[in-house]
Amino acid sequence: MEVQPIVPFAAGLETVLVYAAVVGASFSLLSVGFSLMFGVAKIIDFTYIGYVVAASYLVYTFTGGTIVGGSTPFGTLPIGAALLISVVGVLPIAVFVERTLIRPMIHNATAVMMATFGMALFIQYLATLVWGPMVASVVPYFSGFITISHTVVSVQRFVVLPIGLLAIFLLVAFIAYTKLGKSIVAVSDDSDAAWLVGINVNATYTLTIVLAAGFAATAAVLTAPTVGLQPGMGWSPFTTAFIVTVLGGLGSLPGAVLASFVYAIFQNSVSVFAGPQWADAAALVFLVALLFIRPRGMFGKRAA
Amino acid sequence: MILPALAAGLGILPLGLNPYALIVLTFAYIYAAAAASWDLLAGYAGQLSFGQVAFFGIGGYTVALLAYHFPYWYWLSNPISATVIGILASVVFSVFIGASSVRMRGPYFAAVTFISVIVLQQIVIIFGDCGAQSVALPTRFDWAHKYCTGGQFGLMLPSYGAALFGDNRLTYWASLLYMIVSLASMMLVVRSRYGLYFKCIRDDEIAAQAIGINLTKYKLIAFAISAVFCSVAGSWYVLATGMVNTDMFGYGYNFLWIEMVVIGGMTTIIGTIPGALFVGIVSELLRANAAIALAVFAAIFVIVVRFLPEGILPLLRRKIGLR
Amino acid sequence: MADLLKVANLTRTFGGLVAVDNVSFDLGAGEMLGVVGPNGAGKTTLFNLLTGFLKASSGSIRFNGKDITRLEPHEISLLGISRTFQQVRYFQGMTVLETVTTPIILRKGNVKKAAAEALEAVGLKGKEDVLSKSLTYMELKSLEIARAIVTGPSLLLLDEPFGGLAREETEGIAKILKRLHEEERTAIIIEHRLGELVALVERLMVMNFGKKIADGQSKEVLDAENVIEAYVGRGWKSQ
Repeated sequence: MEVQPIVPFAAGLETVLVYAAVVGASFSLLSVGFSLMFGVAKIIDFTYIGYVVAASYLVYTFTGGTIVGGSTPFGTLPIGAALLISVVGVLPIAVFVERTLIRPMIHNATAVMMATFGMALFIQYLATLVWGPMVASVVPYFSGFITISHTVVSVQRFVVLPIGLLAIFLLVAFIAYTKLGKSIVAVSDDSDAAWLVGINVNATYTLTIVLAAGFAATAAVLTAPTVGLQPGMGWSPFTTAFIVTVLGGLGSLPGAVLASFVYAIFQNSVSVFAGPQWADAAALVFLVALLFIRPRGMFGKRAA
Repeated sequence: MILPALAAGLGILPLGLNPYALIVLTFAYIYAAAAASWDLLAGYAGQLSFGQVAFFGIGGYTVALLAYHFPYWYWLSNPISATVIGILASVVFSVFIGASSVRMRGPYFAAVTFISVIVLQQIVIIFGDCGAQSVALPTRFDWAHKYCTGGQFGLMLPSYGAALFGDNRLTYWASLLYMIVSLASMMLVVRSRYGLYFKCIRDDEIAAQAIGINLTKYKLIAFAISAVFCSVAGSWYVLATGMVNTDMFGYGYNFLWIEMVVIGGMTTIIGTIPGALFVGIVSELLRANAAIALAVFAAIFVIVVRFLPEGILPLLRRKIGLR
Repeated sequence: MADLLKVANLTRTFGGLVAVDNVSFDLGAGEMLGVVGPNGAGKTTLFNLLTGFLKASSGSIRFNGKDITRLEPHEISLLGISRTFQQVRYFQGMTVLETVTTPIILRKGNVKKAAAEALEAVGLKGKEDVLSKSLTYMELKSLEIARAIVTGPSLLLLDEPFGGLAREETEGIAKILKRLHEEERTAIIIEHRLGELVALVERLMVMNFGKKIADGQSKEVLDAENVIEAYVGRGWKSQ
C-alpha cells in the first residue's frame, strides 16, 4: 500500500481527491482480479499475495534498481519489455497454482485457503532468499511532474490512472462482449448450469485466476517505483483487494471499481488527518464495520 | 493415554542434552501449546482463522508492558495478574473480531482474522521506540511515549526470562509442564459437551442448527476459548524468555503453528507435539540459513495440505492399528 | 384437542417466484399429515419456513399458541420441532452415539436412556461407536430419524424419509415410522412414494406451484380430479 505523503490540510480537498483518484486506480487494478476470482471461483487464493511480490521483484530485476547496500544482479531492459515480462512472468505461477492446488481441492475451500496461504509464504521466503530482506527500490520509469489544477503529481504516480482505467475498460469489454468473457459471468452465476450448456468450467476457473494474477501483477508493476520492495509487501495489497471486493459487492466488477475509489478517499483521509501509519488499523475497523452493517457491499448480489 | 508416557520421556531428556538443545525444545513446547489452540478452533470447531497469533501477541505484550511500565504496582504487573489481564484483553479482541465475522462464511472469517493481525502489528510499531524520539507519532500523541512498546525491536525484561527461572533446565521443565497442563486442559474442553457442539458445527452447520445449536454463540465461544489458551502461551513465552517484539504478531508464527497442526494431525490436539518437534528440529538443522528453512517449511506445508490433509498422527494411528 | 400447529397464509417469494403461496392448515396433537405434490411444488420450502431456515415473506406460524414465524432454526428446535432433510445431513466426524446424545446434552435430559431408546427404535443398536462417515445410506437415514426423535419432539418433520432407498430398505424405514405412528407422535411427512405414505397417514395435503390444492382424508384426496391432474396430467382417470 502506498505511503502517501502527508498532504497539508491547507492544500485542500482537491489535493486529497487527486491523490485519491490516482491511488484509487491502482486499487482498482488490484481488486478487479481479486473480485473476479472470489466472485467466480468462490475461493480466496492467498497466492494473490505472491503474485504481487513476484511481479514487483521481477520488474526490479529487469529494470535495475538499488538495494540498500547492494547492487543489481542483472542488466537493464527497455522499460516496455521489463513491464511486459514481469506481468507475463507471473502468469505461469498462477496456472501452476490453479492446476495443482486449487482445482483438485476446489470443493474444500479450507484446504484451498491453507494451501495457497502456504504458497504465498513460500514465494515470500523465496524472495527473501534471492533478493534479501532489505528494502529495494526500483528506478522510476518516468520523470517529471504534471499539474492538475493546483496539485502537483509526479508523472510516475499519475500514470497509473490512465493505464489502469484502460486495462479495466478492456476487461469489462472482454467480459461483456466475448464468448470467453460471458462464460465467466455464467460460471459465476451458476457453475452447474454453465457446465450443462457446454461451458468448460475448469478452463474458466483457470482463466479467472490468471486474470487475477495478471491484474495484480500489473498493479504491482505500475506502482513499484513508488514503494519500497520487500518480501513482505504483498499483505497490504491483499488487504486492500479484499476490503474493496467486499465493499463493492461480491460478483460485481463495476462495484469493485467504484469501491476502489471510495476506499482510496477513505484511506487518504485517514492518512492526511491521522497519519499514514494508521491506515491499516483504520482498514480493519472499516472492514469490521462493513461486515456488520452491510455485508452485501454496494452492489453485491448475495449476502456475504 | 500417550500423554504420561510422552511426558516422562520428554522429562528425562535434559539429563542428556546440551543447553542449546534444551532451549530449542523449550520453544517447541510453547509453540505446541499455542498451535493446539488453533487446532481447537479449526480442527474442532471448523473455523479457519489466520489470526491466532493476535492473541499470542496480546498475551505477551500485556505481560511485558505491565512489567515494563508499572513495576511498582505489583498487584497489577506480577506474572499471574498480568496473564489474566492478557486473557481478558484477548477475549475482548476475539469478540470484537468475531461478532461480525463468525456469521460469515469461512473465507470472510479467515480474511478478517488475517487482516486483524497485520493491523495489530502496525499498532505496536506505531507506539514503539522507547527512549528515542518516535518518528511515527505527531506531537499530540506524546503521552504515548510513556506507554511505548519498544516498536520493532521490542523490549527486554530484566525480571523475567533467565531471572525468573534461573536456569535452562528449570525453564525447560517448567515449559514442559506448562505445555502438558495446557494440552490436557484443551483435551478436557474438547471432550466436554462443548467439543461435541464444535464438532457438529464443523461437520454440518445446518444439521447443527436443526438440533438446536446456536451457531453464532458457540462459534464465538470456540474463538474465545482458543484465544484464552493462545494468550496464556504468549504470556508464558514472555515470562520464559524475558523478551518481546513485534514478531509476536507476525504471521510467521501463525503459519508455523498451522503447519505444526497440519503435520501432526488436525483435530488431535496432541498432534501438535510431534508437529512442533518436527518443525523445531528441522529449523535447527537448517539454522544456517533461516530463509531456506522457512521456504522449506512453506513447501512442506503446501505439499502436506495437498496430499495428506489428515496429518501424520491419524496416519500413524491407522498403521499401528489403533482407532 | 387444541391445535398444535397453526399455519396461516404462509407465503414466501424469491424475487419474482412465489415458492409458497398463501398456505394455511392446522395440525392437532397426535395427527400425522402427509404432504405430497410434484417436484418444485414448495414442500421442502414449507419445511424450511416451519423450521426457521427460511423467513416467511408474509403469514404466520403458531406452535402451541406461540408465534414462531420469526425465530431462528436453533430456537425452533429447542421448542420441540425436529426435522430430517431431503438430502441426508450428518456429522461425518462423530460416532452414532455422539450424534444422538448431543441433542439431549444440549437440553439437559437423561442422556443414556433417551439415546438407547432412539437407537433401538431405528435399529442402530450395537453401532454406537461407528463413525458416521462409515455408515451406509440406509443407516444414515435411520440415524437422522434417531437424531430427530431422541429429544422427544412435540412435532416431527420428515422430508422424504424413503428417498433414495431400494425396495427392501424401505421396509426398515416403514417399520420405524409405523412405530412412531403407534406412539401417537405428531408428524408431517413429505413423500413421493404414495404407497408407503398412505399406509401411515390418514390425512393428506397436496401442494402444487406453491399452493395448497387439497387437504383431507387420503382416499378422497387421491381421487380428486385436480390432484390427479397435478400429478399425472389430464386424462389419466379416464383410462
